[in-house]
Amino acid sequence: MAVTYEPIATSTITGSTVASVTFSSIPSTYTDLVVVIQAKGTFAQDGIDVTFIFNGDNSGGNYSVVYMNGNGTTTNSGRNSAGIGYFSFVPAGNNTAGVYSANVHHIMNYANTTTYKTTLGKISFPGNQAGANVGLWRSTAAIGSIQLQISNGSQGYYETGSTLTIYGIKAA
Amino acid sequence: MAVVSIKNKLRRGNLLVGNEAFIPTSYESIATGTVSAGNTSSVITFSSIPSTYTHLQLRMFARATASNTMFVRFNNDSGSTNYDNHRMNGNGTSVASDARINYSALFVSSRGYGIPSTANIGSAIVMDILDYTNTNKYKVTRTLSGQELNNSNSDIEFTSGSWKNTNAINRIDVSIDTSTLAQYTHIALYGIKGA
Repeated sequence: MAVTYEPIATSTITGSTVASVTFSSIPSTYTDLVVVIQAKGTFAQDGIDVTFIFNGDNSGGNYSVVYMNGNGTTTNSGRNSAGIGYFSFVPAGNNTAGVYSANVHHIMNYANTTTYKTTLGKISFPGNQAGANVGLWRSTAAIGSIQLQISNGSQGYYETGSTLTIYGIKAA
Repeated sequence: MAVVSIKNKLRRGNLLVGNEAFIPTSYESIATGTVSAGNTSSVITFSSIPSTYTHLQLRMFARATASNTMFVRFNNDSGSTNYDNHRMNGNGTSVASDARINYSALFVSSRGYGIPSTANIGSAIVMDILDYTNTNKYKVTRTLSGQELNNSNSDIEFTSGSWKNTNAINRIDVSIDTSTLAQYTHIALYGIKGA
């Protein structure tokens, strides 16, 4: 029996200067993708964005996201339409050692060539917030690569031990 | 009305060399309903759902011909007081919460906007239906949904739902209130097995 939900690739950070991870040559044979990010950044601040760049498209005008979160005291909702895909948010260097995110991002119908690509994210940032977001990449191209960038080089790197995994889900 | 039948499983009589490797799975695709290019559908129905799983999951990319609320109903039950819904959502400005108690369906939508009709864009929805065959419990759902339209009609939602019936679920209907599902809508039903 064909496997319906299977891992495509995993990247575990072992070096100290990895700012970006790219999953390329993603097969088009699945229906949805699921990206699991258990990560932390090294930059000296509380949290940091992990941005999604699809098919190398780093044009700031092609991505937008709306989010909501709660930090135990207040709730917040906002939008970002000025940058690349700010779809994930993880602990950074000011957090206790061993505190990593548990974020899950669904990318629906990623291989469809007639619609823009919509993502659903669940953000679990221990000690800081719980949240969710919906993102959009305004391109009808099938997604063949996903770059997960924690920094452009000026805001630190992935903490050693961070893991990023892509799964494929195949409908009947 | 679009009706999706359960896909027949291919049965092999043996595990001889040359046959596909047998890989026991706990997450299986049951059936898929789609609205093809140039078409619309008033409802997508999954019928004769097998009782062999523990939980179900609906994964949807949905578009509407006219934006409105999505309804999900079980076992063809549209009774006016048979479902409860609680929702929280963020619209890019504020977080809000509301409820529809004793309602005629589970709902999935943007507060005040609905499943979009915008070209090229749809709602993304993942609905978990827990313990769907248990005849001692009401059926509970957990839904994460949203649409990003690059404007103020964008929305992210968490919804908790309940079908106040102890019957096992064997049918699921997905529709749009006073509208139809538009082209490129894709709804997939998966079964998850317990140990």
